[in-house]
Amino acid sequence: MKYTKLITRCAGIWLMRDFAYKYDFFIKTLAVAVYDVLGPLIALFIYSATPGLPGWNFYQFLLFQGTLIIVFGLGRTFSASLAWWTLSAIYLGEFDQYLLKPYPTLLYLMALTVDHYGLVEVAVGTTVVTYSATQLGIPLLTISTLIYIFLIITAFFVHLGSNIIISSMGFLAVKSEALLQLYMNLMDFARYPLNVYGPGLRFFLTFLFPIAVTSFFPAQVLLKGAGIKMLAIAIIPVAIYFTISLLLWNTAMKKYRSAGG
Amino acid sequence: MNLRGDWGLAKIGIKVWGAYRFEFLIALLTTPLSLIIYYYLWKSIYSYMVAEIIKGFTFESMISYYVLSMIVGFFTWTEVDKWLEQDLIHGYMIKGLLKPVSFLSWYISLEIGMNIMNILTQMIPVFIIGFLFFGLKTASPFNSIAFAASVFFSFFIYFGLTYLLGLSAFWLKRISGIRRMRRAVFGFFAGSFLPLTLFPLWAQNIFHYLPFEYMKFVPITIYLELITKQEIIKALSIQIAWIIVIYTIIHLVWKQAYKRYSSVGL
Repeated sequence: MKYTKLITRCAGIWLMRDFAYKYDFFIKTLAVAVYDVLGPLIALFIYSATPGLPGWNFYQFLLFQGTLIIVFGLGRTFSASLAWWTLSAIYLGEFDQYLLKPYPTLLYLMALTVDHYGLVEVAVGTTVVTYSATQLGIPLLTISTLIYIFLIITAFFVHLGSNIIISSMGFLAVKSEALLQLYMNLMDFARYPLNVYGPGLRFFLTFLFPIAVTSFFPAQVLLKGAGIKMLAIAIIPVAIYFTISLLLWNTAMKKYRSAGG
Repeated sequence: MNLRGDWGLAKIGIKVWGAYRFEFLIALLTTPLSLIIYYYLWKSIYSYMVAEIIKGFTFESMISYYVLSMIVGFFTWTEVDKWLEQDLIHGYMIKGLLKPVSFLSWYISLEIGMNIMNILTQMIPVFIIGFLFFGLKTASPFNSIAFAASVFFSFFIYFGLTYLLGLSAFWLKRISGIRRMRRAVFGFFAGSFLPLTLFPLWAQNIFHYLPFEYMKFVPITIYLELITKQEIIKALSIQIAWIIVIYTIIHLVWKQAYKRYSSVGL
């Protein structure tokens, strides 16, 4: 309860800061939406010039893209600025203050780095998914949808976990921007379905850096239904990944010696 | 134009680049990852269809397209709109105005200095990666020279348009929204994500009258020998025409912006 209040306060402050420049706020909201529409547009052009991707017709692929936009939006709202914020705080020697707050440090940082523009992405993604689901004749009020939402939340933990790992590495190895850049580039692998890639990459994206759950598995659930085996493959690697990230964070907190000043 | 002064500024650009060399090196190591994504994407699309050519592109030339897109992108990359915004918000602009060079040529020289380093450390390595791993072929001497000239013009078009949008900071102060929109629109219409020949025909016809395709798509088609010699000459002259138009508009807008400007800071 105390914590939700913190999040809404932080988000409110960011929002007010953005309202100081009203035009910029509106253009930025529009720009975020435009950026998200590019993916579906590219899909449309690819599908009108070619038969498309094997195993995916246009609306199925659109649903895939929409799912991706929702997950990226969630990640952006609650976790995307976390690593960047922490790294620059360490670099400038401003991190000590966060240790003094009456909240768990990680939760406090997450609240502080809420980015409300991500909600625009969630809205665009939901629209795209709903549209393509109706075109495909998929009923949206079923158990599958619940599992779909559950997997989307699971996917969010991959992005949160990645941000926590990068932040933790910032404490352990100071220059960790390289990891942040690597993560951004690896994230793009989620933009296309898993069956596009070779077996080695598929293994990597499912088990080691489990980003396939960002778009591939949720879309599969809506299109083909869920199986126990598939859910296990989707969820267990994420659970392990996220646990590792929390362990790393705790190690980093223990090892932290203040810098800068 | 005072060439000695400009070269001095370009040298400062090289120094600025030096401060960020770590970031540039990381970019060099991580951006080729996106080539792997495009490689697998198009491989599965091409293997799924009967024909071997999509809108003038074979599989090899499609992959080369993305390698070249990355190379041109490295060369034309600029964040001058961000610099202008920060100069205005933090009040550093007055220092720039006190210098005995025009504001525009100050930034261009700086950017050219940075790009000289980018050629050495990013374009050449990506060319080599392209030749070794992604089947990039060498172009004929004429096309290579035309490509180099066209990329050079592309830089000026990209820089000019970005600068022009950056000038809107004189009116709006914070332009993070415009900058984001700029990246999306320029990237999409210049052909960073998809060759423009895959766009609907009516859209392609409109693009010929806009400057965007001359920022990336046209140099790449020159390298890949997708257009004839006459068309290359025509494309290069249109690029020059766009440069003249854009820099004339910058000149006019700058006058208005300067009138509006009242300093903060110092």
